[in-house]
Amino acid sequence: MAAVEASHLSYSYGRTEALHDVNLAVPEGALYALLGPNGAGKTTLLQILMGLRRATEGRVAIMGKDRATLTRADKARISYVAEGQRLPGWMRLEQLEAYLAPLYPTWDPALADTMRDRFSLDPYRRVGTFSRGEHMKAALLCAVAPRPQLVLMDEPFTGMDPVVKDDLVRGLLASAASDGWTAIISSHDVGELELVTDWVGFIDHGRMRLSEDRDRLRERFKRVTVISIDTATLEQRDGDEWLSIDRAGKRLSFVLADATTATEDSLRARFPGAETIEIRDATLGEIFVAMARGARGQGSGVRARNPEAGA
Amino acid sequence: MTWFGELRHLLGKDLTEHRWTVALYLLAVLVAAGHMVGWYPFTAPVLGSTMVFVGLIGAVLAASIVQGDSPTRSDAFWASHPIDASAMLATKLLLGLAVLALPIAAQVIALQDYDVSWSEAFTRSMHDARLYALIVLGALVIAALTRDLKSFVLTVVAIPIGLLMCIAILSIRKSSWGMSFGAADAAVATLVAAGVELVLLVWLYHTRDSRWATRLAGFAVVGLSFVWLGMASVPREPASLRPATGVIQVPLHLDWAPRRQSTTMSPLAMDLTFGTPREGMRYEIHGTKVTARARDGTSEDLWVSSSEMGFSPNGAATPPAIPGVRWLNLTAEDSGSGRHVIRLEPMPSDDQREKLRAGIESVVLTGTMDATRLVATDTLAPAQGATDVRNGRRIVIDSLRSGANGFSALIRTRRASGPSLFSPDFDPIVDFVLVNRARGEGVVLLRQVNDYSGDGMIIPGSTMTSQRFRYSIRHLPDGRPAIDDAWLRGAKLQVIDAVPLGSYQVKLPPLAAPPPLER
Repeated sequence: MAAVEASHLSYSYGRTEALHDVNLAVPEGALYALLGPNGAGKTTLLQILMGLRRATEGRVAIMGKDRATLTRADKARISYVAEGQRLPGWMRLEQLEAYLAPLYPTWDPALADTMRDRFSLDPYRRVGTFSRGEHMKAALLCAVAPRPQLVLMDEPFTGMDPVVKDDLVRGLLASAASDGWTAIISSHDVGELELVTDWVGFIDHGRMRLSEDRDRLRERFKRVTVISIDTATLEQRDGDEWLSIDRAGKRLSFVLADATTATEDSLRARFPGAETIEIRDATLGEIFVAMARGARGQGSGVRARNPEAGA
Repeated sequence: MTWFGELRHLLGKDLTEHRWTVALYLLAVLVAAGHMVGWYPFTAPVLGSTMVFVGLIGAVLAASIVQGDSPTRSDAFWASHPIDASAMLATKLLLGLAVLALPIAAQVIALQDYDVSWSEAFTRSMHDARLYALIVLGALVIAALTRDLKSFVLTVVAIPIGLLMCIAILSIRKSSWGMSFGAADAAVATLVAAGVELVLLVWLYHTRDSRWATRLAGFAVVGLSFVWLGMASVPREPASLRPATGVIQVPLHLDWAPRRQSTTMSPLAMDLTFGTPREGMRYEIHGTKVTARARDGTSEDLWVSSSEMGFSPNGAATPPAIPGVRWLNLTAEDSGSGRHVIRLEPMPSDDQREKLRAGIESVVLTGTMDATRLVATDTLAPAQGATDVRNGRRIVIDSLRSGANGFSALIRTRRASGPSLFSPDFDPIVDFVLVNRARGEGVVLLRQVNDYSGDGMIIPGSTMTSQRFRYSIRHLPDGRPAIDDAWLRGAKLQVIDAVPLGSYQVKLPPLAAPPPLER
């Protein structure tokens, strides 16, 4: 059963279409990275999944149930944290915890204490006086302490220093492993997600371009670097497969989509005079940039994968 | 957690969150109540408008309560937590109800200080609360559709402007919908408007619909509910003020005669003489119009001022009969003619003088006569601070001067009924007489204009009339017993209430051959 399943979602802000026929399937237990440039529709998609907005078209199922039919008990198993989320600023952190705890049967005070200590948050300070980073930490605490089964995180690392971010990522990994969470994390901080996620979705201009298992993605996307004295051969392009192409002197570098076992042989045939052909797994950051540039027409086109393949 | 447990949890949260605004609201209600019942620190006249602050703080409190957990903001904290939307809505409605109930309860209690029964106080207060109920409900709806208090305030200002523009456009197009729209009863209008706003709130919390079309519809509903209530609340004319029947058209001996110009500024000044009414009756003429007919057949309506004041300004009155008491200073007895005179001064404009210079054939006076029955009701001691409370009215003697030099009292009367509760039973202005039963004598007191105004109660929109007049003894003719300390010690102030009976048109026969007009 998919933890989250969205089909044919569309949403418009007035005349501006934010999402168009988006399909998404997130397997249970997956740590899903939702990537996309600014204004791609990530936040809107997460808000619809969370029920904060109503899709103009399409349906959402959470843990096998239609979003609209979720009971309070079902909702208590879902957490949401977002960059722009408003916390009740008039409350002290301890008041906020006391307010939320009765709403969640699975609220874990020990975990809340641990996170508060880890984040160095003062329980007696008003939330409204927190810095941006502290605000996000408090929001994360509120999202994680209920030990949810599904966590939706929209830019959760915003404003955090690298140490805390690292702590959080480790904490997420540990919790996900022990509690069997499903998490959907949208972030610009692709480097952090690299360590955490095992599924990746890429959304751009309100359209889901890709949604795949991280391992399959690693197999499919390769970073290729060719060094050749014969610079004429470096002028070659493959419109469909080569993304994020960089050329500097006798060095050509690109991200290859849809690599296969025959890729190396194929490349050697294309660059017969090449001194070196280096092929390695593309990082998530490289894929992100390649996809984003591709979508903007700054490189080759991107062959979109069926987003439902992840299911 | 059960639904009721969640409700209690949310109520606790909201009360803690808005505790300072709630405290401020309680203070405003307390001050308004203190002013209404005359508690010492709150007696200053300026506090009569505290009701306005009760309304403002109440509306802001209602708005803050909703915006603390907005149904339409996508970043609302509550929406991303397992909180039942119906429990959240119920919390907001309960708190809105508390905002409404607080001044109602305070007013019901304060009305006890005006000798109003609990049931009547409750009925009156509920009636007075219609407008405020729509204000609170409207605030809840507008707050649900706006992002923050700033946009709430802007919207509250924008709605009447938008409505005025719509009304202006509709009036240009001579649409007739307004008439039928306003024909409904105020209670029905309130219930329907409140019902629609409640449905809108349920819809918003259920669907989190934040589309502009929904917002505009919501604002329109709130604005139109006030227009409707306003149109439906125009008080109907009380039956007692409708055209009189023949019974009350008891003929007064009205007569008039020109005055000598040397005693007045007007070239057409005249005395209007009233005959003595029956005991306990008052006749007053108003809306007087003098029409001068020129010799060339044309007519001119002249502006008229009247200059007599007395126990009955603009008319004649005789106090109600009090067995065993004779009036020492009645005008009728003074003059021996049984007449009371009002001086009327028609003031022609320059143009009118020019037109009438050729000569006036006659002048005709028309006006409306109000007939009122005077009833002796309560008595109170002629002492500073003496108070009389009865059936929604509170009379207090603010200050008193009495002795050999006469008697003069500054008396404040507050009536706990506003325009929406127009009572046809009594004229809001009362008169007084001094009665010494032991001596079998009474004196009519002359009312001098001092202060007459509306005053707020507690529920926003509910008003009471407040009057403060100086009453003193009308001159005593020679040969009458002196009103001295000894006389006053045995006297009581008798309240004279006026019960309107009806009105009728009067037209006096033409007065021929008035003096010629000169430029």
